[in-house]
Amino acid sequence: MRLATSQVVLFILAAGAAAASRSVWDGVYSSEQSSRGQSAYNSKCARCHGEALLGGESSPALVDRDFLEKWNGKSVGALVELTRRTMPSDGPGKLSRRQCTDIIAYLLGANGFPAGKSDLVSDAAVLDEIFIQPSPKK
Amino acid sequence: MRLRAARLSTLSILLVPMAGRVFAQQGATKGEWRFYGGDAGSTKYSPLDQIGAANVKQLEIAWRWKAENFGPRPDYNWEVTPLMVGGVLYFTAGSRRDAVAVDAATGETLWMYRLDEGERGDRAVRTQNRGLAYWTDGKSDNRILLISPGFQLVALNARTGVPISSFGKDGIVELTEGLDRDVVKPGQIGSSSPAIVIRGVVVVGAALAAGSAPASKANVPGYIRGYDVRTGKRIWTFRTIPRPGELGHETWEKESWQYTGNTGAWAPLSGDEELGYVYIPVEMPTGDFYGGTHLGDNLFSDSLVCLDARTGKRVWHFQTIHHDVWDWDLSSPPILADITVEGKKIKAVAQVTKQAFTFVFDRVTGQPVWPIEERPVPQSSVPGEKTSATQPFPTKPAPFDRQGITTGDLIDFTPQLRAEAENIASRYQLGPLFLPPIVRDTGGKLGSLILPHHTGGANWPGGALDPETGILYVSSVTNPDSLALVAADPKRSDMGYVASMGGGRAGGRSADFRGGMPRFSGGEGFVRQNIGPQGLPLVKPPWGRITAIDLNSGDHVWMIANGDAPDAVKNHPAMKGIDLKNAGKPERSPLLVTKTLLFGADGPGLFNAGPGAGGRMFRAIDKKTGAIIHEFALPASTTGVPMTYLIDGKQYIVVATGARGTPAELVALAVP
Repeated sequence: MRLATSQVVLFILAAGAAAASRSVWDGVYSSEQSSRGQSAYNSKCARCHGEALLGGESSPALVDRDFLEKWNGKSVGALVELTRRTMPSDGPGKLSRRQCTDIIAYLLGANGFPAGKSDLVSDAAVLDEIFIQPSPKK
Repeated sequence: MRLRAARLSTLSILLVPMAGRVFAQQGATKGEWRFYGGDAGSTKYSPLDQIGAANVKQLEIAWRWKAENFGPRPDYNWEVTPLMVGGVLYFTAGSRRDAVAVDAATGETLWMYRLDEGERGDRAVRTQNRGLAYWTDGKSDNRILLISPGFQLVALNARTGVPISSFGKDGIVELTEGLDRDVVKPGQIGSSSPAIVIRGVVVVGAALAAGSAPASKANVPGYIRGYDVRTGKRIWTFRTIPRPGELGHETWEKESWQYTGNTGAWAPLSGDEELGYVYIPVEMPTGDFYGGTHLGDNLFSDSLVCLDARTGKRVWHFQTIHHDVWDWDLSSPPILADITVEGKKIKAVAQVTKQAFTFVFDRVTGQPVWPIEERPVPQSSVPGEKTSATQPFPTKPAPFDRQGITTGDLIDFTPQLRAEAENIASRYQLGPLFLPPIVRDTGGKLGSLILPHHTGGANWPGGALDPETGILYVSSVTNPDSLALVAADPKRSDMGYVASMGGGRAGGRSADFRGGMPRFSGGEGFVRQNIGPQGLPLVKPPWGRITAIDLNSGDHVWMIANGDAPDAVKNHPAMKGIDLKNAGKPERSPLLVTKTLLFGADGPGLFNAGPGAGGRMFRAIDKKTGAIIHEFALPASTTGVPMTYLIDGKQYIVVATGARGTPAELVALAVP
């Protein structure tokens, strides 16, 4: 019995550790959320970053090599927080955390990371534990 | 009356040999400011003299007008210059570009006009607004012309702000029609600059999406159109991308005229009411840094085009860059100047450019005032690209900013910074003006270093001209940046090649980050970064300047730095003990010139260059010497070109201000 309890505890700890080390390859957002993010992106971000997310005059690309090199190893939480704090660049701080999370869900989809069943939540503690990496394996 | 005319002509004869003065082009008149640029010739000059060297130190804020609640979100970078007619200021305000009339003496709002364009407005390609156009029949019909963010032309009664029902449909003309495209989607085309009215014709330019990395080589062409100011009827269209049978069509190879777009005129326009001509500064085609999709010289891209305002017929043109792969659009209004060159009076037009040239022409004939030579330039190695073998170089005036980059340009404040700068520069291809972009990693280089780059040199604030002396004042930015291309993923773009990082900074940004470059500035938001050592500028100062050029002789008169260094540079630990007083801010100082003074400012520093490039200082400058007579801090950065007027016997200077976190407002300055 004591053994079983510790096994359960171990299992819970392992599950927690797995959750703590999720990556963008683990289906961390839903396709509905990505669509919402796309609408928000088109009205709030596309003017500078381009409809195809390839960047603009003074705005970096948000897809492919340029983007992934920059964000490799960093957390989705950092990306959401940077967006919320600094965008749109002429009047930052006006997008809600929820809106920013939707927009990032759209960016993840555009970069080829798979959709899952549920939304990416906007809770910073959760987002900080999801990491951007170039391939599914560690 | 005859006597008066005779006296005047005697005076002219006396003055002409002295300084080449002819007074046809005289700036704003009657204490008003009827055009965005002061007069139709965009001189930004007023003969008012009440505020002068003796009392400028007493300038105080007379009133402030806050734009914060205009539009669904505040505007922070208000590029507006109000008009002043009959004691009323007219301007655009807020992110929805409302038209507003304000009492010029008190700042009291008289009326406002708001056009809610729904999705069309939300997706506007350009949200900046620079102002309005005015027209009067000389009697009781006075109109304000607004170009909405969604690209509709609106005529308003200047007294009431009510749309004029006999103009277009209920006061509105659809501007997305007549562009040779079946469908024009919201967010494809608009205009950030006002129209200009010459000979009763409203001439409208166009701004399109930035083309650093466009999703498609196909876009809407930015044709120039003329509309009857009374009815709104479209009278003419000037195709900046010529169709079969039109002059210049052959400069678009492989049928590229069919799909290529942009090639609009997003800068303010100029005109000459007496000649009946308009002067159009045309931008480049779709694809800022790759032209493989539209080989050829690409007329009328990057051309100064003179059109007959009544018919839209081309009178003359001059292409300043053939087949542009640098995003060196003509970005500022042409400036009309009546000058005397070697004893010959010339009605001239001067065009300042991003690559730091001043092109000067006889504005009647288009003949260059000083020879312009076609010189061989470096050629592109990018697959599918074919750059022009030669490009035009004016022999006079000399360039007003540095062109091209060598290791001799790198900062050398300390031996360590110099070594770091050399290390960074070694990763890029260096070269003269017109060095083309490379594909990233070609020959082991991250990109081509371009100086001035596409947000350097002169830009939309352009210059100001003193018509009494023929001296042109121009502000410019010295800021190199990397241009590198990557093969476009066909899923995302059919361009073939697009700018790496969008902004063309190549892998340079990440490479420099490895070299210790901070990626983001602390707390305030994302800003364009310097590519030099430790986030410092890569090249020696000055990083921003004002140059005075005598257009009668073509000679430079003086050059001053645009203030001291940006705070982020001044406060950098590596800069301790280094004198940066004349280093200049890498921002374009907006310029206003009066009978007595030249006025300039630090500039906004929002999008342009290095962290914290702008500042709050506003300056009165000695026109003859460039000496700073007085400088003082405004509540925020100057974001628009200042203007001046006289009301109730008192001269005011009005300037748009704002900064990150400080919503836009107009500030009126006067001597109490």
